Formats: sequence, structure tokens, C-alpha cells
Amino acid sequence: MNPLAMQDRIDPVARALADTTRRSLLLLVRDREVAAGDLAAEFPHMSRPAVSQHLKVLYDAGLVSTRSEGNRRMYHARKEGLSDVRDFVNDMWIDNLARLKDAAEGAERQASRAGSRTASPQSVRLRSKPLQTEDGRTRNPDQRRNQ
Amino acid sequence: MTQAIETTTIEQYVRIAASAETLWEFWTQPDRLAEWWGTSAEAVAEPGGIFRVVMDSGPIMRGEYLELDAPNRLVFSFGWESNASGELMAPGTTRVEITLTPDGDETLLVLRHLDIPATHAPDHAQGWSHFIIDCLSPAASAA
Repeated sequence: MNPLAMQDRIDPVARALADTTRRSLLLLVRDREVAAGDLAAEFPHMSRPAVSQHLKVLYDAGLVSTRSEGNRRMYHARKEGLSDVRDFVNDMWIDNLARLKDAAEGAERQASRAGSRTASPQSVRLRSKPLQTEDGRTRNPDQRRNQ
Repeated sequence: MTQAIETTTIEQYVRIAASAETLWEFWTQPDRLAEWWGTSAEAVAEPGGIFRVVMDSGPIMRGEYLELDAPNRLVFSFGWESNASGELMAPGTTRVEITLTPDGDETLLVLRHLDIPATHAPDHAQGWSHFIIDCLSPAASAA
């Protein structure tokens, strides 16, 4: 998944949970469905449209589900809402570790081909270890190249 | 506002035909990081040093190096730079541990990303209330 699409999934959740009223609303609908009017009644200092707006933000972030029952609008928490965050990060690592593998293996092949003739102090240091295997055998760069 | 939240850990394993020393460069040098993780990076590979990666089309990872045991173990904090303190995955809120274990001509890379915000399965609704209640400010409680 491309990073922009991933960010599009994360930002609404982060924004939705950054507000105390919305966190209170989420708590109210955590275990049961509650009608919008009953939710609004829990916030007497706020206008009903303001509460509706908060519910819309939660809905857009995938944190609540909603349905109509007669002329009432019912809200319920979507427990899987936050799993998007985990999936997002997991997808990022899967994509990026594949790219790391390609890049590092390319660099390793290039280092083997370069041999000692162009070795900078840095690459000498870096190459000194891979040539020594755990069982103590020493391997020369040509062997590595042919593998 | 402090947040104690339900968290989960992501684990990924990958076997790479490169030495641990080469892989170490790819986690600690800006030009190497830009070859795979993003378009540019800042990396001061010492404890407390900045670690910042601009990903291809938007998100910026911002963290700092926490533990460095070259070339086998690296720990850094991980967050999204755009997220303010108190938001999910703000800088400093999650951690990534990388271990690099030589295995013949290859290296086994194990990535563990800790402290990812998460919920439990629906029958463990505890996670939700824990997360939300701990986020509540006095103002909201008074409402």
C-alpha cells in the first residue's frame, strides 16, 4: 500500500480520538447501541448539531457504525476501528522490508564485485567481518561473487 | 495528558543475503535509508540522536535512536511527525527493535514494533474503556 493511502487511514482515527467529547461519546456506545438523541442529552452544554458533528467525525474514522431505527439514528462502537492502525503499520513494514532486502542485497553484490581495489577505509571495515564465517573459515571475495 | 493504552506488537522476519554490517548501514546512514524507506532521511546514529524519514508521498517518521549495539541490535522510537502529543502514534509513543543475526551468508532480520495502539477482540471490550478512560481530561469528566 502506498504511504499516502496509509496516512489517509490513520489521520482520521488520530484526529477523532484527539477530542475529549468524542472519546466520551465512544465510551457511551462501547457496549451498546445508543440513539443520537440520547447521546446528545449527555452533553447538555452542547448543541445537538455539535454532537452530531462529533458523531460524524467518529463515523468517518471508522470508529462507530450507525443505522436507522424508525426515525432514530443509532450508534455503536466498531471495535475493529483501531485495528486499522496496526494493519497500516504492518503493511508499511512488509513493503519497506522487501525494499530493504533488495537494496541491501544489491549493495552487498556491488561490494563483492568492487573487491579490494576501490576499498575506502569504511568499506574495508565493513568487509572485514562478512569474510569470516562463524566456523572460522575464511572466504575470498571471488567465492562470494560466484555464489 | 498521559495515555495508558492497550497496545500490540508487530513482528516481521526477513532473511537477507547481506552481512549484518551492511544492513546496519541501511538503518543508520541517511543515504542508505533513502534507498529503501523514504525519499530522504536524517539519522544521527547515537543514543538520543534524531531519526527522521520522509516517506515517499507524505508521512514523516520521526523518532530517535535509543540503543545501538552495532551491528546486531538497534532500538529507536517511532512516531508520525504530523501527530500532536496525545494523538495516536505521536513521536515518542512507539518503539522499534531490530535484531540482526548472521546466518551463514545471510542475516536474519527480526523487527519488533512495540506499543502499537490496538483493541482487543470484541469479547475483551476492556481494551476500549481502558484506552478511552485514560484519555479523558478533567474537562470531559465534568461534562
